[in-house]
Amino acid sequence: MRRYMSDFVFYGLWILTGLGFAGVYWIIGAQESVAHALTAELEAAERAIAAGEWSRAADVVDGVIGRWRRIEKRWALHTQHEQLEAVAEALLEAETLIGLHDAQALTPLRLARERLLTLPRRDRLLLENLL
Amino acid sequence: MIIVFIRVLILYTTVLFFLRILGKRQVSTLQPYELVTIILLADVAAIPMAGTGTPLVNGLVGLFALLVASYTVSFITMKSTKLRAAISGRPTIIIANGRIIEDAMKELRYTINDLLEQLRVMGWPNVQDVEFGVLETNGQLSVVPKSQKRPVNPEDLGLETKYEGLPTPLVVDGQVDVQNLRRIGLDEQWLRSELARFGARRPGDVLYAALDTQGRLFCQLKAEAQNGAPPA
Repeated sequence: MRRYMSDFVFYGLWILTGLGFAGVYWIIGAQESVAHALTAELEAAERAIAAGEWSRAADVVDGVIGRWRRIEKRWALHTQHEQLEAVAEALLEAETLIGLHDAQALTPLRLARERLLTLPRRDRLLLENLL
Repeated sequence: MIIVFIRVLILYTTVLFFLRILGKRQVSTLQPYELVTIILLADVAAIPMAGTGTPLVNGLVGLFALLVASYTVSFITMKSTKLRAAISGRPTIIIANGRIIEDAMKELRYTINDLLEQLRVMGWPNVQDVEFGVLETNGQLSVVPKSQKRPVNPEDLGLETKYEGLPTPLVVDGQVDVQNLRRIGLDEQWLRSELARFGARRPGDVLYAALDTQGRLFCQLKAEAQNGAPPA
């Protein structure tokens, strides 16, 4: 059977779609591992606050903010910018409260953790996301 | 501001490119699924165009999804006549032998006023002059007039006519169409000598030159090359 250019375009489009799906899953996987690593550090900061080790908590949060600023630029290519800003906001609020030795810093830290974990979950092929 | 400007340029280029892939039919006669594509393309492109908080990739992926969907539907309709009928519908005869088919009109929710308007636009104000009226799948009305009412053609008068093919453009806006020249078995040397007869020193002086199937060369020089000479 003779093949036409339009046949090749059709197959090409579906191959690209398949590659795109694979790429999205790879990105989600990478995002999840980064989010887990950052949340583990934020948990360490929470434990430090609970133990009254304010300088250690400040160091950990500073480190997380530095990493987040680098990550944020890459994630901005495919994630809603306001969702990224929400994480940055919570981290900065936590940093300020830790500087004041205020135990309320735990609240923005937990918020930042939750927001970080939610980001890759929003792109997963789940019924809740579809509907 | 600059971001919005660049985003619009990127999305414009992408939509234009995708429409080219979808083909010429897309912009002339729209089937229902093609109309859906056009409407959604504009909407999907508009969101990331103005909202700089939305990643551009999201908009491009949306456009790509529409391209894949539309191309797939057109691919399917090419391969399967049953699916073609299901997706695009079938042409419906609404006038037969000069009489309106009421049932078909009601089925299509097509009013008499719509029909008369279309007929008038096409130059057939009398329904009884129409042998067949067919509402095509893209919503256009095709009319086959009664043989007594259609324009007279040479065959009706028993006149012999010469073959009239398409003229072959050889120079367009100063550019020689080498492919066309080769196709009709001629070369650039022949073209240059012929153009010289019209006062063109080089093909760059020519606005348009074409050879018809009778072997007659038409040549019009560019205004600056004419120097007051009348067009050939």
